[in-house]
Amino acid sequence: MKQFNKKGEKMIIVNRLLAATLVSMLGFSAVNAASNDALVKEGRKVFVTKKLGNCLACHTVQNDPNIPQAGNIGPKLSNMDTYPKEYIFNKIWDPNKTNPNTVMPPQGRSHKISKHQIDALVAYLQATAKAK
Amino acid sequence: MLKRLIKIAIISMISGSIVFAANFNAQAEKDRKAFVNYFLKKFQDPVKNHAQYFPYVSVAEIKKDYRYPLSFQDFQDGSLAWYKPSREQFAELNEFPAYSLEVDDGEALWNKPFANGKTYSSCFPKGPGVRNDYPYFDTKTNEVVTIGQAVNACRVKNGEKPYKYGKGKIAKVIAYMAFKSRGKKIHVTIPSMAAAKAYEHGKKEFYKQRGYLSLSCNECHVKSAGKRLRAESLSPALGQTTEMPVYRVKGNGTLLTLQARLAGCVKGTGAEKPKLQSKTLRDLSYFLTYMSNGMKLYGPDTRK
Repeated sequence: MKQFNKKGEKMIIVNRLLAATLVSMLGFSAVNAASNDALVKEGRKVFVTKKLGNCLACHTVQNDPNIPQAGNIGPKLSNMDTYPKEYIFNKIWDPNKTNPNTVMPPQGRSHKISKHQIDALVAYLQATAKAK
Repeated sequence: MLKRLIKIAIISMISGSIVFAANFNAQAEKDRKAFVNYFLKKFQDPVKNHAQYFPYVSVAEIKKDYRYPLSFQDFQDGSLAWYKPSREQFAELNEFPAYSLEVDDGEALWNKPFANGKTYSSCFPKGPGVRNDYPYFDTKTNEVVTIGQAVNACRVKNGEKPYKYGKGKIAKVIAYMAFKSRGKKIHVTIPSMAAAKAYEHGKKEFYKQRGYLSLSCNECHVKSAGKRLRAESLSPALGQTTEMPVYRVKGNGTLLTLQARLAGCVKGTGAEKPKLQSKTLRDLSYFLTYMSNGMKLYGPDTRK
C-alpha cells in the first residue's frame, strides 16, 4: 500500500477537487449552451408564427437568410446584441411606453405571448446579431 | 325701440341658423381635404419622400415595385393602385372576373318578382344604379342607412324574409346595383346635427385602437398604407369603399359586403367582431365613405 505524508494527501484532495470543479463547470456550460440554443430556436418560432409573435409581419432580421418574406412596416432588426436584454424585453412587452405613436402591438401587455416567449425572442434576436 | 330690437334678434337668429345649417359638414370637409392631401402627397414621389413616409422600405423596392404618382381617382384600386406585383396579377384575374357570375345572379334576383308580384324596382324607382346614394343619413329616424338595409327593407315591405347580412344573396343584389352604378361619384351628405354626430362617431371608431393588437383602422390604412404586412400590400383608406362589394380570392373566393369586410378587419385586430349593421359599423362606413366623396365607383371588384 502506497504511503502518503500529510502534505501529499492534501495535494491529492486539492487536485481532485479542482478536477471535479473543472468537469462540472464544463458540463454546466455545455448544458447552458444547449438550453440557450433551444431558447433561440423557440424565439425564432415565436418570431415567424402568425398566431404567436408574428414579428415577421413588420420586421426582418439580419443574418437569417432562410427567414420567409418579411414586411417593411418596422425597421430591420440588426445589431440587437448592442442593446441590453431588458431594453428589448420592455420594447416587446409594451412599446407604447417609450413611443406613444408606435403602431407596434403590445405583445406582452396584451398577453398575446408569455414572458418566457419574449425571453426566447430576445435570445433569438441577440443570436442573429452574432451569427455571421 | 323694443320692437326693433326684437326684430333684429329674430333676424339674426334666423340668419344664424341658416349659416349653422350650412355648416353641418364644415368639420367633415376639413377632415376630408386633409385626408385626401395626405395620400396624394404620400404617393406623389415615394423616393423623394422616403424618409417621411416610407422610412423602412428600401428605395430599391420603391423603384422596382411602386407605381407613382397617383391621382385622386387612382385610389379606387386600393393597394393595387400602388403595388405593381399585385396590380399585374389583378389585371390577369380581371380578364375573366370571377364576380361576373355573382353580378348575373344579382341581376336575376333583382328582376325576380316577389310573392306579391312587385320587384326591387318598386322600392328603387331610379333603378339599380343607386349604389352611390348609400350610405345616407335618414333625418326622420336619425340613423345612417346602408344599402344592405335598404335592400332588406324593400323585401320586408313586400312581405319577404330579409336576407342575412354580409355575404350570399344580399351581396349578389348589391353587386348588381354596384355594377350598374360604375362611374358614378360618391356623394355622402351631412344634412343635420345628428348626422354630424354620426360622422364624428364613425371618425372616433376609425381612430380607436382595439383588440389585443391595439390597432386602429388608421394605423394600417393611413399610417402604414403603402407598406407591406408580410407579403401583403396595405391598401389606403381613401377609396376603400368604391370597390364594394368585394370579391375576395382568399379561400374559395367569397363576395363580401362593406359591412362584412369592416367586421372582418376589426376581428383581425384581436377585438370582438362587431355585429353587422350595428351603429358602430354603420357610422364607420358613413365616415369612411365620406372621405372618398367625389370618387367614381368601381364595384364589385376583385381583391386578395
